[in-house]
Amino acid sequence: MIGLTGLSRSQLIIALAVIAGFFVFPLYAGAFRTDQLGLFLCYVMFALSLDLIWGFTGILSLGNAIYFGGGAYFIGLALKLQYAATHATRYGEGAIPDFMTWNGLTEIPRWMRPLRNVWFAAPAGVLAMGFLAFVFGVITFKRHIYGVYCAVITLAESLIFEELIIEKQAYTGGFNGITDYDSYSGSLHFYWVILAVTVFFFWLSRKLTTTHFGMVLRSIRENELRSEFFGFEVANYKIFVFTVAAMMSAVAGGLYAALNGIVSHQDIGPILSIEGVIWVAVGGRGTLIGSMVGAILVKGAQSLLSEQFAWIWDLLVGFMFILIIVLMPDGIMGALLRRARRRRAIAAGRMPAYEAARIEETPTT
Amino acid sequence: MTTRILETHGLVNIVSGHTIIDHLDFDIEEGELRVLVGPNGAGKTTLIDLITGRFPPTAGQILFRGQNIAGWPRHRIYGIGISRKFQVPTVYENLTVFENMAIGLRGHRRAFSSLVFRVTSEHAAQIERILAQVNLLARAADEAHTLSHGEKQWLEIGMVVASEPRLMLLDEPTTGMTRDETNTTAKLIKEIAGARSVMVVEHDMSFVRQIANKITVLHQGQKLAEGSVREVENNLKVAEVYLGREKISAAP
Amino acid sequence: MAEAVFAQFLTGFSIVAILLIISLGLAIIFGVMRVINMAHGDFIMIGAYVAYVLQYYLHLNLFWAVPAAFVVLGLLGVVVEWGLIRQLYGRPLETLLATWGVSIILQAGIRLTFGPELRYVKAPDALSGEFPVPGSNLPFPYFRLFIIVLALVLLLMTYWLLYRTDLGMHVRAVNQNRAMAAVLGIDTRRIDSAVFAFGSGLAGIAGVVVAPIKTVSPIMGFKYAVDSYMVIVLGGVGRLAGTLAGATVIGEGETVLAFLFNNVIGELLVFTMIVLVIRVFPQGLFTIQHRRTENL
Repeated sequence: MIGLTGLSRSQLIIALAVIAGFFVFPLYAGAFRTDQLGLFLCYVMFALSLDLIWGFTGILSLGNAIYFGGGAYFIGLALKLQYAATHATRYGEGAIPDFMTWNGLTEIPRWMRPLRNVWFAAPAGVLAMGFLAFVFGVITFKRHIYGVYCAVITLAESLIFEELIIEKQAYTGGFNGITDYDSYSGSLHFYWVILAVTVFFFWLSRKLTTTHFGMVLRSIRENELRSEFFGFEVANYKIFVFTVAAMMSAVAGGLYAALNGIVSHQDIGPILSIEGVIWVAVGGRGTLIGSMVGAILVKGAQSLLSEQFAWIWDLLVGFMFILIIVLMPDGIMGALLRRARRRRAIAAGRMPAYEAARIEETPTT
Repeated sequence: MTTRILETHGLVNIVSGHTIIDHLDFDIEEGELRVLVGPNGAGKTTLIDLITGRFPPTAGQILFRGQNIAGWPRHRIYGIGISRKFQVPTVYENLTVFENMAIGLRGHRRAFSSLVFRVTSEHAAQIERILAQVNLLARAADEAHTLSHGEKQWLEIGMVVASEPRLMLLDEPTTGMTRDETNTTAKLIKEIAGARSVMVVEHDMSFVRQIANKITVLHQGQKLAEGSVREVENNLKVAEVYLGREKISAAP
Repeated sequence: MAEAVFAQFLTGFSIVAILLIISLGLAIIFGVMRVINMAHGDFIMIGAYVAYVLQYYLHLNLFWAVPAAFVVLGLLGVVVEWGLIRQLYGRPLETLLATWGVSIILQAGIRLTFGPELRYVKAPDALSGEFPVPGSNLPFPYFRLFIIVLALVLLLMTYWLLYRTDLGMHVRAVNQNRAMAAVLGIDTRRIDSAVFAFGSGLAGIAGVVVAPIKTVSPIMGFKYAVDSYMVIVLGGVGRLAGTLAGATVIGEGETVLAFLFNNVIGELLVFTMIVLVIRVFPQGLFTIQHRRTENL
């Protein structure tokens, strides 16, 4: 087991304890909180995928919600089509979803019909998002577009997708999104499925980042030019990890749609894209754990605080985010890990205390 | 008869109308240790950039073991055996010294092969041997940003050695080093050079004298002089270029 | 049909003009500081609210809002540059993210102050009405003509500042080689501050002229900001001609294509074109090629 996870014995015990905690949580909490935690876990997976591309590889993508939202729309649409087909009393003989009727469609478009089977829609959505990410990745990374250029281009992509979703309302439900279908809300089993997928993605991300491949990713983050002159086809590494991350996001989005019972244009737009980056920054990028902690912390605080202080929540997020970026560039987990490393280094006598203090002050990247 | 590992024919590089490299014919022999000198702006770093594929040349050929590599992508040029060190030491600051070296190791360049690649005990032994050579064995577990400027230079040289090139291009390997460190580096480069061809760009003439058999002087993108240290130092054209100085040896 | 397209083409010039005012500021900031300000769109939004406040509460003519917004946003720019961007010097991605924090705060602040409702601003009476375009009988609103003239004036003013004044020479020096400029005694921090304030002020002016033709709301600026980022990507940095070309292509492209298809398809096509262009010119169309000797 230890060999399989690459974790030390104590880390493994902590990890198992945390997983066990998540596992038994719904047995003690109500259905509402269980659903909420399930949604948070979807965000956790989204944050993990962002950490792979931003935290480890240094690609700041402000368009990752495209893949989350894309996955969500595939599942949302599939469940809606299924719902329409099984509720003939509400949707008539044609079994057409309400938003299609409102927009003048009289039958489900031919190309959309396979989506009536959710077991087809789920893998199709994930593969489609992987393919889309691959294409965008080739366009962006093969031409050495990086840094802020990459950030603003992915941002524009995300915005265009959101507008497309709103515009093509006959097929997407437009501004109101897809609602009113049978979700898995309140299902204990579905919560456990989400938990299992989350654990699997964490394991996968750890595998990817702790192998030699992960070290090459970090070398690209540190200095992509140096890696190119050491013979690495940097663009290929970026495309690979970008595609894998997009497929993870798509899975997370699909689970999200199935649990939430509503998919909207916001799930694909720049706001969610950047929100994800905020979670990762707050938790600490390049640590995996940090991104997960960040997602749960920010989302948790939001749901607790905005129930009472909705009007001031945005202000709080803005200020907190700025403070973290300026004062704690490694985020919460990053700062903790740095401190632990420093203590180990001093204990091992590898580093005098003043040197270690200097390191603590030096922000990474 | 010696064979040439690298030849350039009529190499030209023009950036925004400025000619940086001007019809340069230049060659290095197999197993040679060559030193490239010249005033600032002579085109020394640009020559390395062209050879390693940082930019394609405007015109001309770059032959590596007889094969024209001008305009090849960087990873292919690395692949046939050319590896470089940058002017400013360029290491992965937040990776440990050992990890830096592991990135340098030859092989596993493709994304899929690096997924299954493992650093074996043989690799580790190789890394440790090179780290011992560059005096960094004790620092193997430290992150590279804790190294001094000179140590970073050594680390980058070590990484280049680990990548086992046929031709090594070292851009100013002693900048920012103390006298002692410079002497160590001179010894190091001579050790390395036996097995492969090395080209060193340097300003520090006392260092050049320690390592060089043959020097090439670049000036305004052209070859001004070539020969032994003594020949170059006594070359009148060279003295003229290093304005107001009696000899090249007075150069900073 | 052809005439209708021509009419769109003319309208497009006012969109180009707005985009030009926005992007000028952004391009100079990016050129000198290598910083993308994610709150640039919200600076536009604040400019529009300045116009709203002056018109609604102080009953002043919209013309007054132009200098007022420039000053207000210039001061805000100084504060943001000094309080935040300077702290993150040399970390462009972190700066980008931190300015997103500024964006969140500004939007929330405005929503708390003015509410989330849409607000309306009237064009000045002197500029209401339309005139026939010479050589045709197409009507063209005076206000859109005013925007175009204003954009040209601001472009010329920027050109004059950059190329005919000492300050501008210093700005260009920092743009080309910050370290060398600093060695030569140029106070690069003061330049950063001035440039950021100027760029922010231009965003404020853009907000004023946008206010009467669009509705004013806390989230109105984002779309404009994204368009102006694309102007930078397409036009490159370091030359005003690049910004002008980028704004023209994107503004006209989106307007005309939006008429022929629809808004979203227009944007999609323009974006696709931008991606194709930067596959050929990764640095944008007009970036000055420097001799690169430094690492990275």
